[in-house]
Parts: sequence; structure tokens; C-alpha cells
Amino acid sequence: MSERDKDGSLDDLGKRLKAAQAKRGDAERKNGTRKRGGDFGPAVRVGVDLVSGIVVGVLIGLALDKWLGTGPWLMLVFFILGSAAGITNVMRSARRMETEAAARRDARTPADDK
Amino acid sequence: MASPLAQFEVKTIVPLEIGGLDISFTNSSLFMVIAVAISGGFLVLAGGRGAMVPGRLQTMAEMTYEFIGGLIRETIGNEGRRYFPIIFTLFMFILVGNMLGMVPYSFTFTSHIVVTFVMASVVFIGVTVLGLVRHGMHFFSFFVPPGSPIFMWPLLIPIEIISYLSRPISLSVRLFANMLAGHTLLKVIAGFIVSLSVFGVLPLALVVALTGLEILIAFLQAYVFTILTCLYIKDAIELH
Repeated sequence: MSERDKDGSLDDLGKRLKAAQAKRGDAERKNGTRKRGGDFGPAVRVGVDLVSGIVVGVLIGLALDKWLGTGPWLMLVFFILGSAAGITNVMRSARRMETEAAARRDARTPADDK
Repeated sequence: MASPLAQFEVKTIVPLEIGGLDISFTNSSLFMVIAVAISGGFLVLAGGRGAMVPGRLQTMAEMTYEFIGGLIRETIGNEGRRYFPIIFTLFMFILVGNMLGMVPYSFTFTSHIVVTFVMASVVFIGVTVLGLVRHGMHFFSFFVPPGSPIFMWPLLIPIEIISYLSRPISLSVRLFANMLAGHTLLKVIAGFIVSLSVFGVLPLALVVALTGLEILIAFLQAYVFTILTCLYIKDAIELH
């Protein structure tokens, strides 16, 4: 086999590999069929999400209060905003877990239309 | 008996001070070095020969690689391949650190908020810079929830910004709190074994079960840290 031929086939192989990888990545991403760390993971994940939002909100409020000298008011406002952010965090995680769980269920029971 | 929190004490091994900064080599630094040595040594030893038919060690290394590779493909897609090194490094460092903590008499460096917060900050700052570089000013549209009416923006944008800023906190607190709580609990229950004499078998059985649970949590927390890093990178690449 000449050097040129070898290079050509390597190029070809590279191209095919890339195509296969792209296909595999997209497919896995779409249905997320790979097994995940079980159902215990999500349980430990959410709790902190709520608290961290509130903490950041209160910290921002306190800092602004100190800077502008506006008493406790901005802290209170940002406490409420922080709580909202915390709940947003929790809802996002929950939604993500739901799609993951649904994907896992689909993977376990093959679709009926086939 | 030593206090259940004595295990988290940072002890200086080699005192060092440069420019008024205390940068002593502590038991925490020692275990970080061990963690790096173990993960690095494991991969070098396993991948050194690169056999076509992998041995046991090489199979383990390939499984770790495949695990993280699959995780990245699944969450970020093919775009994420270039972030493999940092994600894999983070995963290995946290996993080995957590597992080292399960060895008796060792020190768990992931049970310190400084350590986890620095790692979370690296992820947070890196992801923010990545988003800014890729999208420029358009990155800030990330803080506007899609499909929301304009008159709600003054309320929603601060909430989104706080939610974004809370990421490094939840990321670091989750790992640190889990490790701290688990190790303290183990020690407290182990303390009952001696004081209950014959009935000490009950807490002993509990400690055995909890050690198993702790090993699961040690893995799980490394996994959660990694998958959230992936999700943040995905957010920065795709914006929504």
C-alpha cells in the first residue's frame, strides 16, 4: 500500500468516525438512554437549591443596605426576590429530573408503535 | 474521646509564610496532593501500555473515561467534547478526595467549604467567561426568561440574576455539607458503641450500614458536581 493510499483511507476513516460520533452524541442526548446514578441523586440535589437563592438574595440586600443606608428595606425586598429565585432553582431542577425520569422510563419499556 | 469535629481540624505540617500570607503545607494540602497523585498515577499506569485488549486497570480507566464522556455527550452534546479535560479533572479530584475521606484516620478535604467554594468559583467564573466570549453582550439575554411579557422584566430579571449568582453557593454547599454531615454522623454513632457496652452492637451495625451509604454519597456528590458543571456549560453555550 502506498503512502498516499494510506492517508486517503485514514482521512476517510476520520470522516466516518466524526459522522458516527456526531450521530451517537445527538441520539444519546435526545433520548438520554444511558443509565444514570439511580434515583437517589435527585433527592440530595434540590434541598440546597432553595436555600442558596435566599442566601444570595439576603446578602445582596444587606450589602446594598449598607452601601445606600436604606435600613432593612432592601434586605427585605431582596429576601423575597431571593426566595423567588430559590423556588425557580427548585422548579428547574425538578423539571430536569422529570424529563430524565421520563427518558429512563421510555428506555425501559420499548415503544408500542414498533 | 475526641470530639466528632476533631477530624476536620486543619493541622499544619510544614509552616510556610510568604508576604504575610500563611501558605503552610497542612494535612488538607497533603491529602490533596495524595488525591492528585492517586488519580494521576492511576491513569498513567492504566493507560501507559495502551493494550489492544485491556487489562483490569486499563478497563477501569476506560470505564471512567467512558462514564464522563457519555455524561458530557448526553448533557452538552458534541460541543461539549472540548471541555472534557476540565470536567474529567474535576470529577476525578472530587471523587478521589471523597473516597480518601472514607479511609480511617484520613482527612476529607472536600468537607471544607473553602475547598469546594474555590472549585465552584472556578466553574462559575469559567462558565460566565465562556458565555461572554461566545455570545458577547448577547449573553445577558440569558437573564430574560423566554416568552415573558416586557412589563414583568423588572421583576423577573433580578430573580434570574439571583438564581444565577446562587449557582456557586449551591454547588459548593451541597458537596461540603454532605461530606461534613456524613462524617460527623459516622463519628457520633461510633461514639455510642463504646458507651453502650453490650448493646453497642446496634450502633456498630448502623455504622457498618452508614459506611456503605457514605461511600455511595461520596461517589454521588462527585457525580452531581460534575453533571451540574456540564449543565452550566451547556447553558453558557446555548443560552436557554
